[in-house]
Amino acid sequence: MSDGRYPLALCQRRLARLWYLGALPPTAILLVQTANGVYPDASAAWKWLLPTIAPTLGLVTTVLGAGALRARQGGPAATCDRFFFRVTFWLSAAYLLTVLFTLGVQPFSAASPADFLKSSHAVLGPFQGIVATSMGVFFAKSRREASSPAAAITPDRR
Amino acid sequence: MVRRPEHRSRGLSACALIALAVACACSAPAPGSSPAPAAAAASPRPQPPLVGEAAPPPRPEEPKASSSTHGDKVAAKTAKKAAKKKAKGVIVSEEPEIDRLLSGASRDGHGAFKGIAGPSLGAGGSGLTGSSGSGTLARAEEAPRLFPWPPPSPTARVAIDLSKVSPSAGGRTFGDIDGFLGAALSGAGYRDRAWYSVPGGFALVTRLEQVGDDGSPRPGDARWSTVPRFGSFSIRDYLRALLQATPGHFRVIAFVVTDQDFDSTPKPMTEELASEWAESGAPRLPASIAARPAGDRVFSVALIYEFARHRYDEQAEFLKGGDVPGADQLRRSGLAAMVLP
Repeated sequence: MSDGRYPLALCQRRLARLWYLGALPPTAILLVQTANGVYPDASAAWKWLLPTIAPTLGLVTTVLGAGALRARQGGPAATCDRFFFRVTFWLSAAYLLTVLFTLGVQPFSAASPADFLKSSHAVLGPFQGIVATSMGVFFAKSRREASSPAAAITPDRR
Repeated sequence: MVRRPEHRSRGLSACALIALAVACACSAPAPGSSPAPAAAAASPRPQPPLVGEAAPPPRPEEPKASSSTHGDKVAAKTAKKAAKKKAKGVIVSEEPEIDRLLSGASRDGHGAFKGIAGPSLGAGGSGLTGSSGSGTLARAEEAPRLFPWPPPSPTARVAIDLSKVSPSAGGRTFGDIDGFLGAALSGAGYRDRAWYSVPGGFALVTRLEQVGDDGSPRPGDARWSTVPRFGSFSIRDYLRALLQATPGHFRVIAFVVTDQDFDSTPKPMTEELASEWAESGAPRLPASIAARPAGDRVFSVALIYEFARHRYDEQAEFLKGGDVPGADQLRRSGLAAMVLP
């Protein structure tokens, strides 16, 4: 962790932890709501939540799994810019909080729960695009790099 | 060239003949042609319409028939109008002069007269009459009839203890019972009330209020809100609303004081009717009812109508049966003095 850079593996683990923990509360709330029959059509609520968090979670899981199975190779580890990691981390945190907030303000809304969730896509959609792009730099790009041993996120191999 | 005089006279006579022939042709209508307007206007008799032509409208000034037939038709028309008015519930007198006077008085939309107090106004049983601020003077004399009667089947029914009513000097009256109920209701925060007449007594209806799951009124302004609201924010209420989406509960209480037994009608209770009960009705118990003696046969029953509504529901759903007994609801609403121990 020198020169304003973090090891890529460390950044990935921190982001993965954030996403797993962040996805837990909305998923748990939706589970309880479904069990209590809050939504007349529960599938509509799950159709809202799954596209909101599942793609990123899937990507994170895939990359971590690939890294776990990959044989340890010699040479310097890939690093990433500290500032960009922080931006991605806090963007992800804000996004996951927004998802949780959307579920949490339902009792104060005059719209039905399903309609309210549907209308929240207008805000969450663009936000998700930004977060997914920054997360893709850490995970999707690194996956490609892993397949070609000569490259890394940043050429820190001196 | 010089023209001879005999030639000129021959030309003049020929012209005169042609002019005469044209004039004759214009005055005599040709078969299949319409009559000339000038001729029709000049003719005192109406021209019969020709085939394929619409009949002209009759002239109003023209006498259609003899005077006696005309008089009969006018009388029949007046009788038909009176029958129509009677069907609408409007007071119609047989005397034309009285009818004219009544027509001059202002009427509200229900056929009740403003400024003319009379018996049985709005007691026709055809609906809520004299509603929304009309017929106030009539209300002072007679409260509108509770509609429908017998009342719809309530969610809960509680017998009211009238033994605590302090009677007047001349014996217990309906006014005394009304005073007892009013004092208890005022103490419990029920400021808006509406009075109706029912067979053998009166009914007192409270405003639609939001209550908690245990039947106690919601605190603050949420009590009188028609949409589910948090009374005072608490984590418990919030989590219940988030995870269970429990509907808001609403309630209307109708206190019926009468000496006649009554059953309930299968007509379903609706939120609209509950709101209408609270908004319509007389602003106080009419003096004619209040002065009536209330003997031992007079009893009182609180009919509790409960509704459930999610905040996103357009209409509240009437609850045929509630979880909380009616007596407990009244006790938790500050009306324990009314309930039999």
